[in-house]
Amino acid sequence: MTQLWYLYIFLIGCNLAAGFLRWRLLSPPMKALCLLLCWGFTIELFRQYTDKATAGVLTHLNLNVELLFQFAYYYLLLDKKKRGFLYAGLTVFGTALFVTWQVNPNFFRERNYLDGVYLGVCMTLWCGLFFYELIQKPLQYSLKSDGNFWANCGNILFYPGTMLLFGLGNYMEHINSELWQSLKSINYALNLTLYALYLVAFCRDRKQAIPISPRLYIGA
Amino acid sequence: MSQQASDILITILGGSAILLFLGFTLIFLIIVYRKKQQEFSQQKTLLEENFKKELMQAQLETQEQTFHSLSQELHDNIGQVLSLAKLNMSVIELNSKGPSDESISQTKSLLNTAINDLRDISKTLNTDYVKEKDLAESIERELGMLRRTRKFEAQMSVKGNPFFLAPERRLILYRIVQESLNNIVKHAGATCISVTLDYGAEALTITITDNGHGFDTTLTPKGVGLLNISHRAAMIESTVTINSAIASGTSVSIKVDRLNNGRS
Repeated sequence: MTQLWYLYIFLIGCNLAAGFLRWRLLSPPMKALCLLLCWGFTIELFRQYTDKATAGVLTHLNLNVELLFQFAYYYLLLDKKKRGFLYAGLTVFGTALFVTWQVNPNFFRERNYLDGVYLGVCMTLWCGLFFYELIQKPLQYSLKSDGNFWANCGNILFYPGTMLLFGLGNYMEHINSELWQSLKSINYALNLTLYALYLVAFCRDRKQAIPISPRLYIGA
Repeated sequence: MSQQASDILITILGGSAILLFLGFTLIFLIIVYRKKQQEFSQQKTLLEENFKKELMQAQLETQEQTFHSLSQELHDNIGQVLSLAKLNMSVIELNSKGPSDESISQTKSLLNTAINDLRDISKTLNTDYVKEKDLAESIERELGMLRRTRKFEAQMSVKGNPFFLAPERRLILYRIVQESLNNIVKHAGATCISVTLDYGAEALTITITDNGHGFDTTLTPKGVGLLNISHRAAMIESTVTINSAIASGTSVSIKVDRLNNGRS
């Protein structure tokens, strides 16, 4: 598992290196994603070298801050008309978290990561919005050169894929701790997929000129 | 492993697998959708380019045919009429008693015919004539030229209520009719030509019939003219049917759907 963690942290490091080396060429949303990775890198290092209880609190903190970064990312990425969905996602997340905290005041001190589930729901919704917007873009718009396409491919696989692990992980750990340890490798595998796709996104992202001819637009 | 742990494990693994599968499917569908859209757009552009190219070609051929008919018209008709008028003038000059009323009115009539024919020619020279005029009018003009050669009896009839055809489609149809008439003049050995424009509720059917020696459609290979006709008909989404038998004349039928008129 430690080896996987090193690979994981190395991949985040590569992402950061690619992001900062190509900083000037990146689109504003990709820059926001780069900042999110800075935060993620720092928190992962702290989490690794602290005790279990503090690591749990840091995970909660990470999930909440991650949502704010992702909100900023999609705020910069999506069309202004779709910002209502962003605020709706944020409201749902905040409300769900508040209700959970009211029901269980020790929630943030426990290793129960329901906020990971709420984050997964928001991210799936926002990813869906991005893909909906993407299919309406001009035909000349290259998917391969759009870093956001790769980043969202990672998001659409990682967040729905880890939702159940976040939701039922704590319960599973109580019932069978060994089995939970082996299940964590799924989480690592999905994390590695996510950061591998982010790396492609940082390496390939470039600004694309949108053609003016209305004939070339879908539905025109 | 307890039953409870087993249930949770199945839930986590099964649920995650389903969600991952949905994620993969979404990405796959988006990539395929974009690719299909790009292919469709490329095909559309290619078809549009081909259509424009064919249209230009049809326009050039129409002009060429017009110039050919024009030179014949000038030589066989107007030239003859003017020569006759000149001859009349010479007779008037030679006649010492002075010009008779009859020869003057005859010369006037000849000059009038020449002027009218020249007016017709000036209309023909206008390259947009076919695009601007009604299809029946353009075909009638073509048949008029054939009639003037005195080698053919040509007639045209229009049935039903004419509906609008886009200028580009009109030009292509006119060019098909022109090519068919050209084939009759060159190869059919016919003396009677009839063109029928039948405007139905759903389609226009143009039938060109001659009383020539005909040909066996199964044995005779398609020449450039017939291939051009089929190709152009397909371009405006119309169908061409050729019926012919030896010693029974030939009939060319072109059917154009009314619904396809929107295409330009």
